Amino acid sequence: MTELKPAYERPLLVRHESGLMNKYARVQALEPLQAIDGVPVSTLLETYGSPLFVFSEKTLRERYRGLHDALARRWPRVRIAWSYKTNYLDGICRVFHDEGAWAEVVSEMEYDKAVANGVDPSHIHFNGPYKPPAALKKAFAGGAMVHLDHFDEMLRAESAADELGLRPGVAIRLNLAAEGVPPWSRFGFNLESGQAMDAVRRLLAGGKLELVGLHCHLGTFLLDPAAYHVAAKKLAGFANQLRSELGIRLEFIDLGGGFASHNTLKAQYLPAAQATPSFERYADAIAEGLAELDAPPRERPVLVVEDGRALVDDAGSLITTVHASKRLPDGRRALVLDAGVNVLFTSFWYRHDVVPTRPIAGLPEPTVLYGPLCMNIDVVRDQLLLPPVEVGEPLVLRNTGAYNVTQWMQFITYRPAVVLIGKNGQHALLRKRETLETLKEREVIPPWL
Amino acid sequence: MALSALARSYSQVLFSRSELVGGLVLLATFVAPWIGLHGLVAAVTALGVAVALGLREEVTSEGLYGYNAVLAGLAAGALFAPSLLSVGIAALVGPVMVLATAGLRSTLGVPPLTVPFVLALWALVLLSGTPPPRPDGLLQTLGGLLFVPDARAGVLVALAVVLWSRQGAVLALLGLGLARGMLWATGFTPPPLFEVNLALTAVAVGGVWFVPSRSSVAVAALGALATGLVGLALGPMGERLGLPVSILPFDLTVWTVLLAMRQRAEDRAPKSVDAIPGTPEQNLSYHTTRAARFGARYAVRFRAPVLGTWVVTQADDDGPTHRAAWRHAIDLEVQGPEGLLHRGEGSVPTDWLCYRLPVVAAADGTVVKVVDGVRDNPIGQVDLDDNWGNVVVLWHAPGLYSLVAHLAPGSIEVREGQQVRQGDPLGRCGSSGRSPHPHLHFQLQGAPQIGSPTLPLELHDVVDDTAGELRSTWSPKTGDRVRNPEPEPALAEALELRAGSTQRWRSGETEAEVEVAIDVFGVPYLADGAGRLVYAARDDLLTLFAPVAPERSLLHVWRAALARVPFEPGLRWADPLPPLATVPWMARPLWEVLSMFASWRGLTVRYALTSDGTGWVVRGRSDDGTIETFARIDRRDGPVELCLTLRGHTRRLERVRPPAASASPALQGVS
Repeated sequence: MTELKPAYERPLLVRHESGLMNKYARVQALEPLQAIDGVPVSTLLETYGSPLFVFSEKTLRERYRGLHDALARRWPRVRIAWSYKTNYLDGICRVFHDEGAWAEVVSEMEYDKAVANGVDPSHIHFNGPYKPPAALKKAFAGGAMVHLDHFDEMLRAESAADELGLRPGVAIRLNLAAEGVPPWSRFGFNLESGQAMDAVRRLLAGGKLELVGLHCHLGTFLLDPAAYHVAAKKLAGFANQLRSELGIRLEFIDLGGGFASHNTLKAQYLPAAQATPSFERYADAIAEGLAELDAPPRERPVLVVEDGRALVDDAGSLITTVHASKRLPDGRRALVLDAGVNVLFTSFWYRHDVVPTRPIAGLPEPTVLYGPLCMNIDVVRDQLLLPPVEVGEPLVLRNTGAYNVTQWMQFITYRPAVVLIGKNGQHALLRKRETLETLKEREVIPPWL
Repeated sequence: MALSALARSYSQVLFSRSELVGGLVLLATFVAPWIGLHGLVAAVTALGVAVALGLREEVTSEGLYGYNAVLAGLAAGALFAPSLLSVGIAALVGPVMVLATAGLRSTLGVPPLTVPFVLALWALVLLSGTPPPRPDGLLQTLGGLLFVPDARAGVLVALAVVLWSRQGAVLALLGLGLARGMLWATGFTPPPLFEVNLALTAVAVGGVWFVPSRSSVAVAALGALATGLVGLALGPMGERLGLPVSILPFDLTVWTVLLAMRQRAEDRAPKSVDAIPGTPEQNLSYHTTRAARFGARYAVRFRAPVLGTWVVTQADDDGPTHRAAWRHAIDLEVQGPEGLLHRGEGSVPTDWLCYRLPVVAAADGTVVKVVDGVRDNPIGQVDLDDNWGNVVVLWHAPGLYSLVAHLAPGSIEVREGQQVRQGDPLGRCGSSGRSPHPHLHFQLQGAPQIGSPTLPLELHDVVDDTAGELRSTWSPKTGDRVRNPEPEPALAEALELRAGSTQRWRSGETEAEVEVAIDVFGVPYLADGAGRLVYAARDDLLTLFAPVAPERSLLHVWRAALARVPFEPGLRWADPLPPLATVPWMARPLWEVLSMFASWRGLTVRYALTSDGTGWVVRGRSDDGTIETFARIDRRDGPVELCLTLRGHTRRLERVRPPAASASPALQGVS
């Protein structure tokens, strides 16, 4: 970098507060993010406009390989099913499928999307509490792995299999108590109460489906790997019971997803860099738990995980531009950004990492980040320390790859473009910016108007 | 069946299992019809007795009990005037020969050759009081082997040899030439069948029991000369005793050569034939393909002793410790995305990415030695008192052990005497012994003691993760990333060939059945009407071997298009195609002869496996572009299309699928 002339510093009068000099020392300077994978943020803004979602293919692949390798070094047979709901932009999904990921879908729409992405239907795990008969038939005909969520679904699955003349393999979803994790008891059959065993016996009695897998999803953004150890151990114990009492040899055990990304929850005390466990720690916990399986090594089931957030969150950034700077009656500074909760749904639960794209000198002060909506809820960050920034200044919200481009709203304004940065600085659109035509295309005016 | 066994009783006189060769030899004996008849009577009674006694059917059908009977029967025909008595003697001597041959086969450590016949000949000579005919001239001598010292018989025998094997014919000519040279140089009077003795020795040593090569030809020439000396020495002695030496010099010399060659430390140059010997050409083709595919060093296949991808940090004959008697070893560690082997500072063992990861058995074996209880060193320190640290030694085969060292204390999951299979956990990676930071040390050795000298290190059918290639035999270098294949169960299932099943295939206008079967030894094979192809199926790999079938057989297309298939889509690999398959038939005789003297490895075909919506595709292409192959494997029906393009000429096979396959109620919807 060539030597820059000293940046202009906006004058600001601050009352002397001894509180700034506390035992935690001075505020750390923000590390600016000038380029993403070698492409300057300014180039991206000039090419695609603001706001803009940017994904790093390099990070996507690194995260996938990191997770895969961590598991594969601890368990002989491993499968990652990419959680479609986390981000089902076709380009993102294809990167993961290219790395060898199967698909984990929770609706017929996601199923169709996966098949359209070239995924072999037999490489799809079909989850979720809502699978109407048509979806079940489609999944069975394609050879997908259906995870049964409740008894009513078992009945529907049996009649779908009957109609097709197939005897498909299925998995059942379990919920169980793991210390330190709020129970997700609304999904699947409960293990501790014996409901899971009832479900297996009912399934065998029906004789129309074959039990080949167990599935349990503990929850989301779990910062304690020990929970997975408990879950894996309980699943292994249940699998042992199935093997010894009923002679069932499982093809796979699915521990769901829920690994944390490098984001920080609002209620979280430590920042992500310190709190987020490495993939190795999750893998250790799972492999230790599954070691309780008493099947001979060659008959050990495939370990399936269905992560989404941990794979994609770190790879996504939202570039936004400061539209206005103002001071609130309580003295805090406020910035109005061109992207709000309409595109950044996750700001309801994360303290997103916000960084400038150039070194900004000056004293950081408490700042609120607002979005462009005329709604009180549109708060991107309710409190962060930011040096004085100019109107027109681009800011990057990091680790925003998960859930935002699926849960975003078309509300008040258009949704922004999404870009992928590939190898050697090449970049291309994953999704075009919406226009009025996008909206009008679906709308119909009743003939009497 | 019976006719084929009969024909092979004749062809085995010339080491051949071809019925056509047998027919020519039979024809040669009937140049003197009475003699021929006696031979046939002996052969038929011999076969009858072999079947009646329930001798090993696969040996009977190969003619390996019958050839001594044929020769002894012919001797009876030649030594006695044709009468009911002479035919009776032939009918009796046949079964005796079967018993003698069978007895010697099971007790001698070497093939019985024609020793039973020579003993029978002596008995017959003593009985009849007449010496066998004494042929003059080369062609008559060839006929003389069959007691028909007639040039016409000699021509038929020569024709049979050429038809059987061009390499064999060249070796026979070498033997004949050496015989003539010896006689010319020494001026001795040759005993009867002198030239035949040398020719048979040259063929047996040069191409039947050793893989044809320059070295086998050299040993064959030396063996032929030795046979000549034995013949010249025994000849006059036999004359004096009234017992013809016949082809005894050949028997004695070949036995000596076979026994002597077994004393070598390494079975190389010439390489002995491991399988049931075929024609010299088949022996050569089998061996070159096997050597190029698997390396010829060990019979045991070693996988990586770890799960997932590891990096080699100190290779064979590398670094400070893999030296001298312990040079054949590898150190393995785990590398993070930035190439670092540890997190953070790497100042404690737990920072190292490989620390406490599972270590597994590289191959099936028995645990013969376990050391546990040596503590893990602090980073940077070594323990020279227990320098191997915690160790597990496995026995795989006589003189073949594998060792994993520096395991974490208390992590060892096996005990001495326990049988393990490839992939079974042994313990966890640690940092005990001479280990300044956590790593895994893996080596092969010839003895169970810890610290035994190492054997050359090979990994088999593992993935070179940097190149994305499957390596059939590999000794990775420092920096190479190694892992075992990750098989896709659905592909393994699609390529599972179920014994007893048949498939219909269409090739152009014609249709043929391919049957999957298992032979008496438990070896699975594919058969179409024309021939057989042996294959091997593992959890993660299908391997097809050379078809024993005429050119028209569609098994040749199978062999080329599905040569080896690892069950992991995305992998690439190389596999040799036997050279013979690619040479135009006009040029073959010349090529066959030349290939004895040059080491042609055949063509290397590079394959790649990809998956698509309906299944998988294997595409192959040879380095020089003369061969292209294509195979489509359907998710439900397995192989459905096989294609071989050789120099622009394409053979394409299409599966004729049963129409109702997809609606079968027994079908499992999920793989």
